[in-house]
Amino acid sequence: MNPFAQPLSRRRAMQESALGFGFLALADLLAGEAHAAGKVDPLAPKPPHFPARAKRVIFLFMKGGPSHVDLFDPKPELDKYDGKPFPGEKPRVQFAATGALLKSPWKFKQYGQCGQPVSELFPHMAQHVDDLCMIHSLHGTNPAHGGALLKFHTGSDNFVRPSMGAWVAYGLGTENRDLPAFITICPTLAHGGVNNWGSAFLPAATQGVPIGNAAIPVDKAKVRYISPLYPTNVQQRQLELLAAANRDHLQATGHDAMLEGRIDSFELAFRMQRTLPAVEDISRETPETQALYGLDNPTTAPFGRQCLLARRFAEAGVRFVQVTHSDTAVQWDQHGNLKRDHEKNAREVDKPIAGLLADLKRRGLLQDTLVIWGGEFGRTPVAQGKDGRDHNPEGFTVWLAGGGVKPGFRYGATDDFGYFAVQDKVHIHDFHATMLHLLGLDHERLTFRHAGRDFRLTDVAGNVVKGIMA
Amino acid sequence: MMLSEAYQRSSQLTPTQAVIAVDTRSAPVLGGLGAVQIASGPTLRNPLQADADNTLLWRFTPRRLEAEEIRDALLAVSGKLDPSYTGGRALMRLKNRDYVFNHTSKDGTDYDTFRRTVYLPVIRNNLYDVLQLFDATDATVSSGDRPTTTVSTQALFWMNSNLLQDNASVIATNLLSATSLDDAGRVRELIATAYGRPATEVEVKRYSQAVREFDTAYQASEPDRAKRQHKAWTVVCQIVLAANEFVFIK
Repeated sequence: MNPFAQPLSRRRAMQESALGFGFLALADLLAGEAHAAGKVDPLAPKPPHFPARAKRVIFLFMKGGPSHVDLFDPKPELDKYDGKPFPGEKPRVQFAATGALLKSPWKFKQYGQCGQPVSELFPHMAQHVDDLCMIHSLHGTNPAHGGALLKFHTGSDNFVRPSMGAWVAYGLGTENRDLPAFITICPTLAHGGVNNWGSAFLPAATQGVPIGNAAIPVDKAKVRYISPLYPTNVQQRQLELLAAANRDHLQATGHDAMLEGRIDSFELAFRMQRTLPAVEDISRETPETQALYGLDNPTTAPFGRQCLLARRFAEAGVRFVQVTHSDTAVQWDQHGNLKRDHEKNAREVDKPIAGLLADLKRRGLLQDTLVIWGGEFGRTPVAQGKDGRDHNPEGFTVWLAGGGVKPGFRYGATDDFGYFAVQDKVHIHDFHATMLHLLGLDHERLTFRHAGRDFRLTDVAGNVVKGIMA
Repeated sequence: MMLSEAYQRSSQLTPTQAVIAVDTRSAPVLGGLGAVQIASGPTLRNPLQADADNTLLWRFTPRRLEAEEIRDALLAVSGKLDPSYTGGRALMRLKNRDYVFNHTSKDGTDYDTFRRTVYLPVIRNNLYDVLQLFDATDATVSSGDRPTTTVSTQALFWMNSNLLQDNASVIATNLLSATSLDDAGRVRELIATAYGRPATEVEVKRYSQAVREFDTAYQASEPDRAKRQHKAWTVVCQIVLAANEFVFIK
């Protein structure tokens, strides 16, 4: 057969081109175009709509609803009116009945050049306030965990929609073809579960690859099917024979992008099988770095390991890494035992998060990594019982760091008691629009056609919050 | 049209055998069969050259099996598939009105069955990952179409999943229990079972040789000859199941 009678396929180009690897760049470029058309690999790297301030995201998700008035948004009025009824009108829809105002059991101090107040629960994180951009005026709509998690992760609390990590993977692809574009470390299976890292109608490859879940200790958590079934020499020979069979089949069928793509995918998988465990192997880190994340202490070690993994994935080119702090019982959901359990949670995450920020900074990764910290909502300034707070989606704090946001900055505010966002309000849709903007994506142009119309992460809403950008 | 035997058969042709020609100069941009002519006169050209992407549908475009078909096909060729009808609670090993899942991540999910995939339970919080991997859309979204993606996490499944290995192992057992067959005969049986066609001589040679190679590779770790043979055949059966020919219809 005359090889010139066939259109040039990538595989043939590699086999036959006299230019060898010089040609590979062109072939990759051509393949990239085919990929962009959604034909074969939806994770091929794609350019952003406009120059990006951040290339990747690390999302530190505090499941359950951390109490903003006890952590980053102090309210002196609460001390003054402790035990008195809330003077304003409570939200029409509440999760449960609440009582009088409850002052914070913790002291606040101002830190850094910016003077951001942080509660005594976060002594380590407080050292990094000059790198943080606080948004005190986030607000959502749903006062229950399930709806609020879905709203925060997918932009919708009533329909199944792609998660924000999937949208980012869809929009930008992955920087490292040996790794997934979106990894979620120990996600919670409850309150929307898979939908919180799912791809819904986007290409399935954009969904988050979970490493374990909240019920599995992080050091036992693994990616599915990553462990070889056979000794290396057997598997290698097996894959050679598989490739030979596939080549024969391709020869008989003729050029086909799917068939060729699948042949390539085994080569990638073989590399991923080596790359992923290597990236997950934190024993390669120095004892100093491990200690920075609190791995030397049983309280901080689990979340510290998650944060260290997040940095290693981000460094290796994973586009969106989510780290969830949750367990099967307590989480950040203190309807009661606020003092005991918020202290427990804070102790577990404070040092690891501070370590992550310090580590990203010293490696030069913070400038193009967007770190997001937050929960699905905040908590009410009014009490449940004597030592608890209810869910509060009306106003809460999320902080950002790195990735083109103003460091040491505060944006927006809640009212005097911390119940409602009142100044420079940032709805969850606005937050999503802003996150995409920082990644170089226009939230109105990042669309996917499904069921006869275009869909967006921000539905028909969302304003980019320009005020927080450096 | 795509189901017509003649149409499918045209896709079996190798490029050099092509007898159907496409004249792209005169073809409408989105032409269907109207643009395809039975070879005649000066328009005879290699269709692969004229229309590599098959936009004019001169052949059946290879189609990957959908997620459910993949699982069913694996179980079918190993003889494990339970074709019985009806679903019901027999598939959920839970007490009546018991939670499969609760907010503390309690997990009662159980996909361990040989029933056809269409009868698998759909646990919204813990969907069957094999289906997810092969583009079954989220079970809570209505969807008129599924994309067909090719990603390396799927390849990991073909390389390293228990579902693959278990079925390959059962086929290996079946092949070895046919004591009247020699290795070449077993390869012929394997290809016929998996692909529904006779094996080529290249395949007979390739896989008979491979069985000997893998047998040697396991010499040190597996002293029992029968067990070693079974291991070697399992590895080979897995190759056949993981190959494009098993996963694509053309």
